Parts: sequence; structure tokens; C-alpha cells
Amino acid sequence: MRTRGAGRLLGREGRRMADAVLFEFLHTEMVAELWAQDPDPGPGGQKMSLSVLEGMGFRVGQALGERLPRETLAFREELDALKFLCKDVWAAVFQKQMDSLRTNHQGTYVLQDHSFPLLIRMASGLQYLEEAPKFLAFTCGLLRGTLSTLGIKSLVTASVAALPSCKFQVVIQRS
Amino acid sequence: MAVCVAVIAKENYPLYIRSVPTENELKFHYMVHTSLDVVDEKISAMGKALVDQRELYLGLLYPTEDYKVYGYVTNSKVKFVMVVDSSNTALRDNEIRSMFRKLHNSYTDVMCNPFYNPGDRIQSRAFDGMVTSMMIQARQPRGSCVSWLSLGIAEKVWVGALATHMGCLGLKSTGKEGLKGPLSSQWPRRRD
Repeated sequence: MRTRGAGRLLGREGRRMADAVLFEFLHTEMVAELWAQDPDPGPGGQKMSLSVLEGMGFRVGQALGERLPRETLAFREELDALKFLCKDVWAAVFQKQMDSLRTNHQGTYVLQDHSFPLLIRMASGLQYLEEAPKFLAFTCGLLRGTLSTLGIKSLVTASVAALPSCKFQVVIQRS
Repeated sequence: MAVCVAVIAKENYPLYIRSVPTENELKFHYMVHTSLDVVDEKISAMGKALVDQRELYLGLLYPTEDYKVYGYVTNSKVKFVMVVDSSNTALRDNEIRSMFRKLHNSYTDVMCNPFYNPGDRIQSRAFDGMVTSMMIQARQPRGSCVSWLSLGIAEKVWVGALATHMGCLGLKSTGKEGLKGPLSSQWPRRRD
């Protein structure tokens, strides 16, 4: 059963998480609500909505970054934090792990998910490709927020080549 | 039981600091501030050593003549510093660890509160309540301070008064003896 599966992943402390589909519905509604105000806001307006979504994801990510690594010992390096993102955060939010993590060892990481749960219900292929970025903004913010709580300043962008597979590019900002 | 509890952000400014009000608070603020150096030292020392991973609980940071200071760092580089009274020798390492764990849990709850902006001072009443439960309760004012000996006397006086009252009642109920003899005979006899 779906709920049992989700509960098992956060089951370290015996707490059961609500069904994952609730978050998917909420997310869809959030995007729909921001676009419902003005279906064709023009390039400026659209950027505003995207940054609102990203900001929401950022705050959620900050809280997640505090709550998730509970009994885990301190991260020794950046790569450990990224691995934590791919495994623990993804599993907690989307009930699956990231499919691949690549890096150029110079501060750029590409996280690839072959069947991203927020896109999987939309299409499988090239249909709705232009609409896809809206549905990734929140997740980009989530990643950025979690990294910021772990002490890493970053810039996260997402790209879709074909639904439901998508890539998140994380560029670490070193001051 | 702690005497002072502080939560320090990763940029090393206090998010929350509270100490027992009867003492000079500035002294505790200063102690917490100096302990930050020790925390930084411990973090960097553990990083350099090829220990697999650093533990969150740092243990005793430094002892002074009256107090001991303990530290804990989370994965988000937020530090918790706790000052306890040295004279309280019954406090074991496990208890300190569990106090820090409670602090960490409450701090996580504060972070998840949507009305809290990360980086602000913590004003949550729930957090306050949790910290109050782990601090030494305010000491009783001198007047009501009761020592073991004085309690003994007070107890005796109380027992005596109650006994007299009961004795009077007893005499009343039987009604036959009346108030005879000296007053001392109305004290209840000890059951030996």
C-alpha cells in the first residue's frame, strides 16, 4: 500500500507520513493558482510567479534541511551533502532516490531524475514541454533551501528534455 | 539542570539566550561567547583528524571553578551551549545528551514554524517552555527557606496541635473523663 511505503521511509522515528499524493495535488494547485491570476502575464509576470514558487520551495527546503539529517553525523564535505540530497531528501519528499548525480568536481553538480513524480502524471514525451518549467520551480527552491541550511550557497536551475525526465543543475557559489 | 541555555546561529550571533535570573546575566553571556572559540576549535580539530564523521554532541567544552560548559553543533552549524552548576555532580553525560537532543528537537520545530524567519531571534513560547523545564527553578526567597531541623520542629508543633485538637474531640466524644489532669496528659501517647 502506498501509505505504508511512504511511512517506512520516514519510519526511523516511527512516524508515518501522509500519502505522497497529497503533496502532488497541493503542488499542482499552487502552480495553477499562481497562473490563474493572469493566464498570460508576459515575460516579466511569469518570472515573478516562478520566483514566488522558488521562494516557497526555499523556505520549505530550509526547514527540511534542519529536520531531516537528525541523527546523521556531520557532513565532511560538499559531496556528502549532495549525496544526502539525492538519497534522503528525495526519498522523503518523492519516495524515490535521485537516479544519477554527476559532477565536474569544480562546484557544478547535475542531478538527473528519469521519472520525476511531479511530471510523471502530465505526459511522457514532448507534449507540454513548455509548461514543464513551472512545475520544477518549487523543487529548485527546495534544493537550494536545503543546501543553504547545510551551509552551502548555491544556484539551482532545472531543465527538461523530455517528460518525465528532468535535470537539476546545482552550481555552488563560492564567495 | 542548566543554569544558562543559549542557541547560537552559524554566523555566531545568539538566536536565544536565557539564564537563571538571580545571577549576574552578563557573566553567562560572556561565558557563552568565550565558549564559541572552543566550539570552533573542536569542529576544526575533528575535521582535520581522519575520523569518519564528527558527532553532533561536543561534550564538556571547558570547566570553570563554579560552572561547566557543554556544547552541541547541528548539521546546520547552529550551536547549542549549556552552562551547568559544577556543584551538581549528579548530572551525568547521558542526561546532558538527552537535554541537547530535546533542544535540537525543539529548535527543529521552531525552524518548521512558517511564522519564523530563519535568522531571527527565537520568540516561540513553546521553546521557552521547554527551556524552562530544563533550567534550575528560581531559588526560594530566604524567608520560606526550610531546613531539615526546622522542619522537624515545625512538624512536631503541627503534630502536637493536631493531636491536642484530636484529643479534645476524643474527650468530647467519650464525654466521661472530662478535662482532667494537666494539659500534658492530653497529648497522644506514642505507640511504642
